[in-house]
Amino acid sequence: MADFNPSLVTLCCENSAFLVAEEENLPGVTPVKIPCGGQVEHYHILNAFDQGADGVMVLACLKENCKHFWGNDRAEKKVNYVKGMLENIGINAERLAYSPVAANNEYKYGELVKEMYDKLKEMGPMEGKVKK
Amino acid sequence: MIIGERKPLEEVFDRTSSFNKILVLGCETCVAVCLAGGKKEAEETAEAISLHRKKENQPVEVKAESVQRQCEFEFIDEFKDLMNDYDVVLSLACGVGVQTMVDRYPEKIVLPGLNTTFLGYPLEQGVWMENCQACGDCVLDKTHGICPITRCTKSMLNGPCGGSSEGKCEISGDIEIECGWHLIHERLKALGKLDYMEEVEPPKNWSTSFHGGPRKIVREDVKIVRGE
Repeated sequence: MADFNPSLVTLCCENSAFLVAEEENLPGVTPVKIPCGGQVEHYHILNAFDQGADGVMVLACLKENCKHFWGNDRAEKKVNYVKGMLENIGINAERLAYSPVAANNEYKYGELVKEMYDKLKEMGPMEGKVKK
Repeated sequence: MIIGERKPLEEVFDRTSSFNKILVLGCETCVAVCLAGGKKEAEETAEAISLHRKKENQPVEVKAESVQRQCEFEFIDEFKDLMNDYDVVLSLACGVGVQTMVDRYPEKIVLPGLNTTFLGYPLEQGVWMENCQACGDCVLDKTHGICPITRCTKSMLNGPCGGSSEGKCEISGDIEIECGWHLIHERLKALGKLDYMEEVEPPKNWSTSFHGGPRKIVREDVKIVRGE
Protein backbone atom coordinates (compact mmCIF):
# COMPACT_ATOMS: atom_id res chain seq x y z
CA MET A 1 0.00 0.00 0.00
CA ALA A 2 2.74 2.40 -1.00
CA ASP A 3 0.33 5.09 -2.21
CA PHE A 4 -1.92 4.90 0.85
CA ASN A 5 -1.55 7.62 3.50
CA PRO A 6 -3.46 6.59 6.62
CA SER A 7 -5.31 8.91 8.90
CA LEU A 8 -4.33 8.32 12.54
CA VAL A 9 -6.07 9.93 15.50
CA THR A 10 -4.18 10.05 18.80
CA LEU A 11 -6.34 10.68 21.86
CA CYS A 12 -3.77 12.21 24.20
CA CYS A 13 -3.98 12.93 27.92
CA GLU A 14 -3.38 16.62 28.47
CA ASN A 15 -1.05 15.84 31.36
CA SER A 16 1.36 13.72 29.36
CA ALA A 17 1.09 12.65 25.75
CA PHE A 18 -0.56 15.84 24.51
CA LEU A 19 2.31 17.96 25.81
CA VAL A 20 4.53 16.00 23.43
CA ALA A 21 1.99 15.69 20.64
CA GLU A 22 1.43 19.42 20.31
CA GLU A 23 5.16 19.91 19.76
CA GLU A 24 5.30 17.25 17.07
CA ASN A 25 3.55 17.89 13.80
CA LEU A 26 3.42 14.55 12.13
CA PRO A 27 1.67 14.30 8.75
CA GLY A 28 -1.50 12.20 8.80
CA VAL A 29 -1.68 12.29 12.60
CA THR A 30 -4.39 14.24 14.41
CA PRO A 31 -3.75 14.62 18.13
CA VAL A 32 -6.85 15.25 20.25
CA LYS A 33 -6.48 16.63 23.76
CA ILE A 34 -8.38 14.74 26.46
CA PRO A 35 -8.53 15.75 30.13
CA CYS A 36 -7.44 12.30 31.34
CA GLY A 37 -7.16 8.80 29.88
CA GLY A 38 -10.01 7.80 32.16
CA GLN A 39 -12.28 10.27 30.39
CA VAL A 40 -12.09 8.42 27.09
CA GLU A 41 -15.40 6.79 26.37
CA HIS A 42 -15.98 3.90 24.02
CA TYR A 43 -17.96 6.08 21.67
CA HIS A 44 -15.11 8.62 21.39
CA ILE A 45 -12.94 5.91 19.90
CA LEU A 46 -15.69 4.52 17.68
CA ASN A 47 -16.58 8.03 16.58
CA ALA A 48 -13.00 8.66 15.45
CA PHE A 49 -13.23 5.58 13.22
CA ASP A 50 -16.68 6.62 12.04
CA GLN A 51 -15.31 10.04 11.12
CA GLY A 52 -12.75 8.43 8.84
CA ALA A 53 -9.74 7.48 10.95
CA ASP A 54 -7.84 4.39 9.78
CA GLY A 55 -6.36 3.97 13.23
CA VAL A 56 -6.76 5.34 16.74
CA MET A 57 -4.26 5.47 19.58
CA VAL A 58 -5.09 6.30 23.18
CA LEU A 59 -2.01 7.72 24.87
CA ALA A 60 -2.10 8.34 28.60
CA CYS A 61 0.30 8.70 31.52
CA LEU A 62 2.81 6.11 32.67
CA LYS A 63 1.68 3.37 35.04
CA GLU A 64 1.02 4.67 38.57
CA ASN A 65 1.66 8.20 37.36
CA CYS A 66 -1.88 9.36 36.65
CA LYS A 67 -2.91 12.65 38.22
CA HIS A 68 -6.32 11.10 38.79
CA PHE A 69 -4.90 7.83 40.17
CA TRP A 70 -6.34 5.24 37.77
CA GLY A 71 -7.26 7.18 34.63
CA ASN A 72 -4.55 5.46 32.60
CA ASP A 73 -5.55 1.99 33.83
CA ARG A 74 -9.17 2.71 32.97
CA ALA A 75 -8.16 3.95 29.52
CA GLU A 76 -6.30 0.72 28.84
CA LYS A 77 -9.30 -1.36 29.92
CA LYS A 78 -11.62 0.69 27.75
CA VAL A 79 -9.32 0.27 24.76
CA ASN A 80 -9.36 -3.48 25.27
CA TYR A 81 -13.16 -3.43 25.46
CA VAL A 82 -13.45 -1.42 22.26
CA LYS A 83 -11.04 -3.81 20.55
CA GLY A 84 -13.63 -6.51 21.24
CA MET A 85 -16.34 -4.29 19.79
CA LEU A 86 -14.26 -3.67 16.67
CA GLU A 87 -13.87 -7.40 16.14
CA ASN A 88 -17.65 -7.80 16.43
CA ILE A 89 -18.11 -5.01 13.92
CA GLY A 90 -15.66 -6.70 11.57
CA ILE A 91 -12.81 -4.21 11.88
CA ASN A 92 -9.27 -5.33 12.58
CA ALA A 93 -8.70 -4.61 16.28
CA GLU A 94 -5.04 -3.88 15.52
CA ARG A 95 -6.23 -0.51 14.26
CA LEU A 96 -6.63 0.54 17.87
CA ALA A 97 -3.81 0.76 20.40
CA TYR A 98 -3.11 1.97 23.91
CA SER A 99 0.28 3.17 25.12
CA PRO A 100 1.60 5.12 28.09
CA VAL A 101 3.78 8.12 27.25
CA ALA A 102 5.57 10.50 29.59
CA ALA A 103 5.23 14.24 29.06
CA ASN A 104 8.96 14.62 28.45
CA ASN A 105 9.42 11.64 26.16
CA GLU A 106 9.08 13.06 22.67
CA TYR A 107 11.17 10.27 21.24
CA LYS A 108 8.78 7.59 22.49
CA TYR A 109 5.72 9.42 21.20
CA GLY A 110 7.27 9.79 17.77
CA GLU A 111 8.39 6.18 17.77
CA LEU A 112 4.99 4.79 18.82
CA VAL A 113 3.10 6.90 16.33
CA LYS A 114 5.46 6.02 13.50
CA GLU A 115 5.19 2.34 14.32
CA MET A 116 1.37 2.54 14.29
CA TYR A 117 1.38 4.66 11.14
CA ASP A 118 3.56 2.15 9.30
CA LYS A 119 1.33 -0.70 10.48
CA LEU A 120 -1.77 1.11 9.20
CA LYS A 121 -0.04 1.79 5.90
CA GLU A 122 0.56 -1.90 5.56
CA MET A 123 -3.01 -2.77 6.56
CA GLY A 124 -4.53 -0.36 4.08
CA PRO A 125 -7.70 1.75 4.44
CA MET A 126 -10.15 0.82 7.10
CA GLU A 127 -12.65 -1.89 6.26
CA GLY A 128 -15.56 -0.36 4.37
CA LYS A 129 -13.93 3.04 4.00
CA VAL A 130 -14.69 4.76 0.72
CA LYS A 131 -11.43 5.38 -1.08
CA LYS A 132 -11.05 8.93 -2.38
CA MET B 1 -32.53 -1.39 40.50
CA ILE B 2 -32.98 -3.21 37.22
CA ILE B 3 -29.73 -4.61 35.87
CA GLY B 4 -29.26 -5.31 32.20
CA GLU B 5 -26.62 -6.11 29.62
CA ARG B 6 -26.48 -4.92 26.06
CA LYS B 7 -27.30 -7.63 23.58
CA PRO B 8 -24.31 -8.97 21.65
CA LEU B 9 -23.47 -6.60 18.80
CA GLU B 10 -23.94 -9.37 16.22
CA GLU B 11 -27.56 -9.69 17.37
CA VAL B 12 -28.05 -5.92 17.31
CA PHE B 13 -26.66 -5.73 13.76
CA ASP B 14 -28.80 -8.64 12.63
CA ARG B 15 -32.07 -7.32 14.11
CA THR B 16 -31.56 -3.81 12.70
CA SER B 17 -30.21 -4.89 9.31
CA SER B 18 -33.44 -4.23 7.40
CA PHE B 19 -33.83 -0.65 8.66
CA ASN B 20 -32.18 2.44 7.22
CA LYS B 21 -33.16 5.02 9.81
CA ILE B 22 -32.50 3.89 13.36
CA LEU B 23 -33.08 5.74 16.60
CA VAL B 24 -31.07 4.25 19.48
CA LEU B 25 -32.87 5.32 22.62
CA GLY B 26 -31.21 4.95 25.99
CA CYS B 27 -32.77 5.27 29.43
CA GLU B 28 -31.11 7.38 32.09
CA THR B 29 -32.35 5.48 35.12
CA CYS B 30 -31.45 1.91 36.21
CA VAL B 31 -29.73 0.75 33.03
CA ALA B 32 -27.64 3.92 32.88
CA VAL B 33 -26.39 3.27 36.41
CA CYS B 34 -25.40 -0.28 35.47
CA LEU B 35 -23.61 1.13 32.41
CA ALA B 36 -25.68 -0.84 29.93
CA GLY B 37 -28.29 1.47 28.42
CA GLY B 38 -27.68 5.15 29.21
CA LYS B 39 -26.77 7.97 26.86
CA LYS B 40 -23.14 6.87 26.58
CA GLU B 41 -24.10 3.32 25.74
CA ALA B 42 -26.70 4.57 23.23
CA GLU B 43 -23.98 6.63 21.54
CA GLU B 44 -21.52 3.76 21.37
CA THR B 45 -24.19 1.40 20.05
CA ALA B 46 -25.16 3.93 17.39
CA GLU B 47 -21.50 4.34 16.41
CA ALA B 48 -21.09 0.57 16.24
CA ILE B 49 -24.14 0.22 13.98
CA SER B 50 -22.91 3.04 11.77
CA LEU B 51 -19.41 1.54 11.44
CA HIS B 52 -20.79 -1.91 10.76
CA ARG B 53 -23.09 -0.62 8.02
CA LYS B 54 -20.26 1.32 6.43
CA LYS B 55 -18.20 -1.83 6.40
CA GLU B 56 -21.08 -3.71 4.79
CA ASN B 57 -21.52 -0.85 2.33
CA GLN B 58 -25.10 -0.33 3.52
CA PRO B 59 -25.28 3.27 4.74
CA VAL B 60 -27.63 3.97 7.60
CA GLU B 61 -28.92 7.03 9.38
CA VAL B 62 -28.58 6.40 13.06
CA LYS B 63 -29.13 8.75 15.96
CA ALA B 64 -28.53 8.25 19.68
CA GLU B 65 -30.79 9.83 22.25
CA SER B 66 -31.83 9.06 25.77
CA VAL B 67 -34.80 9.70 27.98
CA GLN B 68 -34.92 10.07 31.74
CA ARG B 69 -37.28 7.13 32.20
CA GLN B 70 -38.48 5.00 29.31
CA CYS B 71 -40.99 3.29 31.57
CA GLU B 72 -43.26 6.33 31.97
CA PHE B 73 -45.49 7.90 29.36
CA GLU B 74 -44.84 11.46 30.46
CA PHE B 75 -41.12 11.06 29.77
CA ILE B 76 -41.37 9.28 26.43
CA ASP B 77 -44.02 11.64 25.09
CA GLU B 78 -41.34 14.20 24.35
CA PHE B 79 -39.87 11.88 21.70
CA LYS B 80 -43.04 11.62 19.65
CA ASP B 81 -41.87 13.92 16.85
CA LEU B 82 -38.37 12.50 16.75
CA MET B 83 -39.64 8.94 16.53
CA ASN B 84 -41.62 9.78 13.42
CA ASP B 85 -38.34 10.49 11.65
CA TYR B 86 -37.04 6.95 12.14
CA ASP B 87 -38.06 3.51 10.88
CA VAL B 88 -37.23 1.74 14.09
CA VAL B 89 -36.35 2.42 17.69
CA LEU B 90 -33.62 0.32 19.23
CA SER B 91 -34.38 0.67 22.91
CA LEU B 92 -31.59 0.28 25.43
CA ALA B 93 -34.09 0.38 28.28
CA CYS B 94 -35.13 -2.69 30.26
CA GLY B 95 -38.02 -4.82 29.08
CA VAL B 96 -40.40 -2.52 30.94
CA GLY B 97 -39.19 0.47 28.94
CA VAL B 98 -39.47 -1.35 25.61
CA GLN B 99 -43.04 -2.38 26.35
CA THR B 100 -44.01 1.08 27.58
CA MET B 101 -42.75 2.47 24.27
CA VAL B 102 -44.76 -0.09 22.31
CA ASP B 103 -47.84 0.70 24.37
CA ARG B 104 -47.47 4.43 23.70
CA TYR B 105 -46.43 4.16 20.07
CA PRO B 106 -48.13 1.01 18.75
CA GLU B 107 -47.51 2.07 15.17
CA LYS B 108 -43.73 2.06 15.66
CA ILE B 109 -41.35 -0.87 15.70
CA VAL B 110 -39.40 -0.93 18.95
CA LEU B 111 -36.62 -3.49 19.28
CA PRO B 112 -34.84 -4.43 22.51
CA GLY B 113 -31.14 -3.68 22.49
CA LEU B 114 -30.66 -4.96 26.01
CA ASN B 115 -31.17 -8.18 27.88
CA THR B 116 -32.92 -7.35 31.14
CA THR B 117 -31.09 -9.54 33.59
CA PHE B 118 -32.14 -9.11 37.22
CA LEU B 119 -32.99 -6.84 40.14
CA GLY B 120 -29.87 -6.05 42.07
CA TYR B 121 -27.29 -3.56 43.20
CA PRO B 122 -23.72 -2.58 42.44
CA LEU B 123 -21.50 -4.67 44.71
CA GLU B 124 -18.47 -2.68 43.60
CA GLN B 125 -17.47 -0.74 40.49
CA GLY B 126 -18.20 -3.02 37.56
CA VAL B 127 -19.86 -5.80 39.60
CA TRP B 128 -23.61 -6.17 40.00
CA MET B 129 -25.34 -8.67 42.20
CA GLU B 130 -28.87 -10.02 42.13
CA ASN B 131 -30.63 -9.73 45.46
CA CYS B 132 -34.38 -9.57 44.85
CA GLN B 133 -36.77 -11.65 42.76
CA ALA B 134 -39.81 -9.45 43.35
CA CYS B 135 -41.72 -12.39 44.81
CA GLY B 136 -44.40 -10.08 46.18
CA ASP B 137 -44.28 -11.45 49.73
CA CYS B 138 -41.12 -10.15 51.39
CA VAL B 139 -39.54 -12.23 54.14
CA LEU B 140 -36.51 -10.03 54.77
CA ASP B 141 -37.83 -9.21 58.25
CA LYS B 142 -37.36 -12.84 59.26
CA THR B 143 -33.91 -13.28 57.77
CA HIS B 144 -32.77 -9.80 58.74
CA GLY B 145 -32.06 -8.43 55.33
CA ILE B 146 -30.73 -11.39 53.35
CA CYS B 147 -33.21 -12.81 50.88
CA PRO B 148 -33.48 -16.60 50.99
CA ILE B 149 -35.51 -16.58 47.78
CA THR B 150 -32.70 -14.95 45.82
CA ARG B 151 -29.52 -15.74 47.70
CA CYS B 152 -30.35 -19.42 48.22
CA THR B 153 -30.01 -21.15 44.85
CA LYS B 154 -32.96 -23.39 45.74
CA SER B 155 -35.02 -20.52 47.21
CA MET B 156 -35.44 -22.54 50.38
CA LEU B 157 -37.28 -21.05 53.33
CA ASN B 158 -35.76 -23.52 55.77
CA GLY B 159 -32.06 -23.82 55.21
CA PRO B 160 -29.29 -24.54 54.79
CA CYS B 161 -29.62 -27.76 52.84
CA GLY B 162 -27.03 -30.52 52.78
CA GLY B 163 -25.32 -28.92 49.79
CA SER B 164 -23.78 -26.10 51.80
CA SER B 165 -20.07 -26.52 52.36
CA GLU B 166 -17.72 -23.95 53.89
CA GLY B 167 -20.21 -21.22 53.11
CA LYS B 168 -20.49 -22.14 49.45
CA CYS B 169 -23.40 -23.63 47.53
CA GLU B 170 -22.98 -27.04 45.97
CA ILE B 171 -23.81 -25.75 42.52
CA SER B 172 -20.69 -23.56 42.55
CA GLY B 173 -18.60 -24.24 39.48
CA ASP B 174 -16.15 -21.83 37.92
CA ILE B 175 -17.96 -19.08 39.77
CA GLU B 176 -18.29 -19.58 43.51
CA ILE B 177 -21.79 -19.03 44.81
CA GLU B 178 -22.22 -18.16 48.44
CA CYS B 179 -24.71 -20.23 50.39
CA GLY B 180 -27.60 -17.84 51.13
CA TRP B 181 -28.45 -19.67 54.31
CA HIS B 182 -24.87 -19.52 55.50
CA LEU B 183 -25.05 -15.75 55.04
CA ILE B 184 -28.35 -15.65 56.93
CA HIS B 185 -26.88 -17.79 59.72
CA GLU B 186 -23.87 -15.49 60.08
CA ARG B 187 -26.12 -12.43 60.08
CA LEU B 188 -28.43 -13.86 62.75
CA LYS B 189 -25.42 -14.91 64.81
CA ALA B 190 -24.01 -11.36 64.69
CA LEU B 191 -27.36 -10.00 65.81
CA GLY B 192 -27.81 -12.61 68.54
CA LYS B 193 -30.94 -13.91 66.89
CA LEU B 194 -29.95 -17.47 66.06
CA ASP B 195 -33.20 -18.69 67.63
CA TYR B 196 -34.84 -18.05 64.28
CA MET B 197 -32.85 -20.91 62.76
CA GLU B 198 -34.91 -23.28 64.91
CA GLU B 199 -38.21 -22.03 63.54
CA VAL B 200 -39.88 -23.91 60.73
CA GLU B 201 -41.29 -21.72 58.02
CA PRO B 202 -44.50 -22.97 56.41
CA PRO B 203 -44.70 -23.15 52.62
CA LYS B 204 -44.59 -19.73 51.03
CA ASN B 205 -47.55 -18.18 49.28
CA TRP B 206 -46.25 -18.04 45.74
CA SER B 207 -49.49 -16.63 44.32
CA THR B 208 -48.03 -13.15 44.85
CA SER B 209 -45.09 -14.04 42.62
CA PHE B 210 -45.04 -14.36 38.84
CA HIS B 211 -46.63 -17.77 38.94
CA GLY B 212 -50.07 -16.21 38.84
CA GLY B 213 -49.34 -14.32 35.63
CA PRO B 214 -48.48 -10.62 35.20
CA ARG B 215 -49.13 -8.73 38.41
CA LYS B 216 -50.95 -5.46 38.73
CA ILE B 217 -51.36 -3.03 41.62
CA VAL B 218 -54.40 -0.77 41.64
CA ARG B 219 -54.48 2.14 44.10
CA GLU B 220 -57.91 3.77 44.01
CA ASP B 221 -56.70 6.50 46.35
CA VAL B 222 -54.21 7.84 43.83
CA LYS B 223 -55.99 7.03 40.56
CA ILE B 224 -57.15 10.04 38.61
CA VAL B 225 -60.69 9.76 37.35
CA ARG B 226 -61.20 12.03 34.34
CA GLY B 227 -63.60 14.87 35.10
CA GLU B 228 -62.77 15.02 38.80
